Amino acid sequence: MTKEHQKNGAPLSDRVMQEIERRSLAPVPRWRVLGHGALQWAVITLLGLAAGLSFGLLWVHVLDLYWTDVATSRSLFDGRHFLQTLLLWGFLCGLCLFALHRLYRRTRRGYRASLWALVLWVSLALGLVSWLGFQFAPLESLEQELGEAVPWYPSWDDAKGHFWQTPDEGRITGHLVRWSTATQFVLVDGKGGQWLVDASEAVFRPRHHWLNPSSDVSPGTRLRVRGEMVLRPLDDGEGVFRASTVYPWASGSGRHRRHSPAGNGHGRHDNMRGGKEN
Amino acid sequence: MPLHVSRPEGHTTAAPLMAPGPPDHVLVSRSIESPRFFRELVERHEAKMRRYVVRHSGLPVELVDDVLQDAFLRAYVGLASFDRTLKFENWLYRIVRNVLVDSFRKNKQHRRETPIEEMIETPGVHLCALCSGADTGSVLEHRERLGQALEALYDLDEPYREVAVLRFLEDKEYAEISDILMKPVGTIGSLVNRARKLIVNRLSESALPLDVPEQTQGRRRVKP
Repeated sequence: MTKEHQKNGAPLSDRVMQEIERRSLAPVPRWRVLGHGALQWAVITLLGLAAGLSFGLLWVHVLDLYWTDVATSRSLFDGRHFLQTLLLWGFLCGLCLFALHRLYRRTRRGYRASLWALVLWVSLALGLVSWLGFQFAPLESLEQELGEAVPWYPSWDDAKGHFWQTPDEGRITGHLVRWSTATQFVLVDGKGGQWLVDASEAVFRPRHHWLNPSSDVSPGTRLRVRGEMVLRPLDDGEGVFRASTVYPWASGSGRHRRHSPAGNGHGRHDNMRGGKEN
Repeated sequence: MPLHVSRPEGHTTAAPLMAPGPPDHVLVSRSIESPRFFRELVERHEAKMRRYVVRHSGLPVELVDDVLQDAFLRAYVGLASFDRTLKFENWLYRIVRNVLVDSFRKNKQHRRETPIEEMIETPGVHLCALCSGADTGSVLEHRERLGQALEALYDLDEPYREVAVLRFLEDKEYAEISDILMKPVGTIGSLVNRARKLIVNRLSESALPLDVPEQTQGRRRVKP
């Protein structure tokens, strides 16, 4: 082609026009350009949502974790399992952010944005999406369903159940069956064991959410209880557990509200802070 | 380096003294409707793009023609994606540069064939500023400095050379280089300053005395 043109000595414009004619070239239609742009932004939005949800789950998990308990737990399984989940969501969040950045840079004006401006905006967007996911969407239910659907997924809920079902280490979890007295309730744990929980000296977290525990914490609510095992449940008998702190099972406010009719949805932060107290 | 090609009889081109034709973006819109308007765009920008290809790559003339043809065909096919907030010329620069990058990927053994002396005839304003040390310097000294600066420029690593060609030879502003290379303006500023520093260092090693003005366009200066 080149040699032929050189022989002809035709000006570039002529050669370009001849090539356009010879190859029957035509400009890409406008709708395809617009469609490509729309697709690009749709993928960017999806990646942003995925990154936000991953970050939200990561954040919920970090807040949900009782680090001192995990560190002192006798079971190596707990720490490893929690770490796997955190790493997975952290990796997914990072991957989504990386892809988002690469894709955004390829948009029409994306290359103009400075890295710092991008970091600022992405941080704000991540915070917003993860907060919305935490506040309105059941992030933890989503995670639980994921754990059921994907066999290899290291479900946080399973690990959490395993971690809290350790009465020897002062932790039990289960559903509240009934209040025996104003300060004692019966709890059935995940293995079917019954516990008479003495909550006379216990603090209910979040405190202003459960002002009057015996009426606010209704039967069927799943709880986490920290304290001290007094008597291990025998075959058909009740174990006795002296509670120091009682928490709702989930830290997400959506689920919290669902289990507690008197809930006002403001107890999340208290709950998180309360988790660090004894 | 032949910058002009002979025109067939009866063929008119936009001469500098003639009334300027419609602006580029109007021609772009018309070219989408009918390819014959694209000819004017090609003729209008051919010389500049040819010069850029030579300066960027030093390719021999026959390969320059290939690159330009390929670039203009790509531009024609992608006319609808032209962002009207950009200068059409800068958009073309971007396409030409992409074609060059593709061409280098295919042929990694490419070597510069255009002698630097040819480029001294039309140096960029910014390169002249970089080399115009003392006013007392003779024309010969100035040419010698230009030659050294160009050699230093072409010895730079690819990312620096790329911005240096656009800044010092093509006299592009930072924002324009940002549009051409699709990198943030801040990154371009850093690259240009680093390239300038490297060229100045190279010139300082030579025997000729220099008094190089630093042009930072309001950006942070690079520490010498």
